[in-house]
Amino acid sequence: MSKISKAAFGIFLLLSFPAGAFASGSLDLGEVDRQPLNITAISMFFIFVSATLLITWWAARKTKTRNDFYAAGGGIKPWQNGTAIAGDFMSAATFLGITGAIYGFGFDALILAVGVMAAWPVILFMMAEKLRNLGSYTFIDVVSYRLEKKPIRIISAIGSLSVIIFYLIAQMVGAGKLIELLFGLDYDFAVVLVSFLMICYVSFGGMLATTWVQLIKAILLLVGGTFIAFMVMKSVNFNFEDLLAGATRIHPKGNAILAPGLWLKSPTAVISIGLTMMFGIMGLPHILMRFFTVKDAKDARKSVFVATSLMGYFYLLIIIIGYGAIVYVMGNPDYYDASGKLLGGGNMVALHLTRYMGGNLMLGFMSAVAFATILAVVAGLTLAGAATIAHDLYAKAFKSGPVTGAEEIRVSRRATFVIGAVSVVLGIAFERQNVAFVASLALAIAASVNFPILIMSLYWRGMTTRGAVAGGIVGLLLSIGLIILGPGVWTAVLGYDRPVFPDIYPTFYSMPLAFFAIWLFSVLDKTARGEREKARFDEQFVRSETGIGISEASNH
Amino acid sequence: MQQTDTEKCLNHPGFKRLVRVRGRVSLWFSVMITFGYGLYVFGIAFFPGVMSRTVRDGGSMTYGILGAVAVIVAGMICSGIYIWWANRHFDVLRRDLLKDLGYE
Repeated sequence: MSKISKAAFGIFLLLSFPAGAFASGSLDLGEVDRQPLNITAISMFFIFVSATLLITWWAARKTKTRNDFYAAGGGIKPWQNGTAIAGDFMSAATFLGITGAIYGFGFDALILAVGVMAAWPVILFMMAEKLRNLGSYTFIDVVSYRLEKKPIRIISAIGSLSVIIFYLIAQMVGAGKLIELLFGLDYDFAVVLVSFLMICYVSFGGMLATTWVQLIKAILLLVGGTFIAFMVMKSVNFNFEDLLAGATRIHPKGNAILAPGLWLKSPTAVISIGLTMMFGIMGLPHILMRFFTVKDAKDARKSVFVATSLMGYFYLLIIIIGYGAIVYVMGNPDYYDASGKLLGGGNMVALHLTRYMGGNLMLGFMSAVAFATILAVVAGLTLAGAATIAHDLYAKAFKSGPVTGAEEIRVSRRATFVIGAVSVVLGIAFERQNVAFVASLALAIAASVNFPILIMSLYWRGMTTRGAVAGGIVGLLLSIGLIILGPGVWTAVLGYDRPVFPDIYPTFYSMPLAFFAIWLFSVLDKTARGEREKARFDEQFVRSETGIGISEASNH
Repeated sequence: MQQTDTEKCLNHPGFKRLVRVRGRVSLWFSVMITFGYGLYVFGIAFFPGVMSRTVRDGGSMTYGILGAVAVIVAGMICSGIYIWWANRHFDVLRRDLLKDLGYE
């Protein structure tokens, strides 16, 4: 078990997407074995990068106004936007990470996929159309619709930027490790390379380039994943039960990989990760931002449907690929070194299976796609961060007087460079850090700060600025504070014997308390401003339901 | 001016109907998904024994894995039904309302 669990832990570190949320705080970044240069992978990688740079060049010529930069002029088609949203979730984390987690723990890892699939339909039913009707560029526009602009934008921006930065660190470290694994490049160099490319995409091509990069990568990943899953199913004559039975015969834990308990040990651990997965996703700024790239609420709705379908399909593939990896990779001497260690560590499980099923050419293809995945996700994150800084903070909160679109884009570009530079520094500083923990911090903050404020602003008339700010502060302090006091940091990083707070995830406490604080401080708020804000709910409500008063979208 | 427009819309029977219908449908679907997912999470947390049981004797498919697949597939199907409903019914209500209020 220890060998397997170590391999699986290694994978967790890669996690780019929400799946980065995990239970154990004592995960450690294992040594990564550098691979010999893989020529196919490198050539595929160069083809992909050249193609995306071409797209960026094309997008840059179309990106003229502020609306183009943040929201691709609102002219993205629903299927494109939906595929890009799905792309944000079909990351290296899903393909490599969940596969590896299933390889290590079997059943328990499935909650990482199931949580996402529970969150998306609810986003569709409760939020997507309202967001599109109300917002312009960021979800903070929606939250501040009827509230006092400055304080609410500042607190939401802090929440957003914390989420983005922690998420970005997880991505950068994951990217660096992946490149080290796949291409045999130096870690520092890999981090700089990723950052350089993402700055190019975002600062020149804005949302249009970011969406296209994400879109192309998502399609490639779907094609590759379909191929591998098909080959696995073909090998068992399309009988899924035979696949599961085969996996139990090979895995040292036997039948336990089909049942709960190998990874999530306590009920609170299960519930906390369940909450974090579902509600964290509803508060991710780079995902919420995508609703503003389509023409209207109807298109927002359609794009969520496309996204949900593609993600669901891909997660089903991943379940097959995960159990398939146990059957064909585990114990296969081709993929172990002389000392019995899995080649390249647990991160490589999915890619080993790719090679087993499709040979070196397929391996090169999927390696390049895995890398492209990280690039696309960091580009989306960086854009969301730049929009928060330039739009929410610079233009709407701190700069007195109107800010021209050109000025805002200039600030955004500068912010992109700063975020790029910061992510390189942090990526290198955090190289040996527990990325699983960093990524889970991002999701926990999203669930405890962004999500409560957003959902209350949409549905509760009584929320005032004071309540929203209080809730944001409570969510932020509790989520970060409890993570630090919990076993993830207190014992694993700071080295104390016993954690002050017993659980890894704070969400179980921080999210409900944030809601409570919003309610309490709103109810106690008897100021004239509070009353005005409540009165403006009607106008917001009409617009969120009907789209009356929404700006016309551009075409391209 | 804006205020009167808002009030006009709020008091319009078409708007009330729109809000009631959509509110009911979206709430119902959300509850269904949340309930399914909640069942799955609580099952893992408190009834691991049930989740480990195989669907048929001697088979390998456990209720847990079946549940995971079911939540994923249910998410896809519910989204599909909602879209179908919204495109067919909700958008019609909304268009009628906007026309009536003189926006389109």
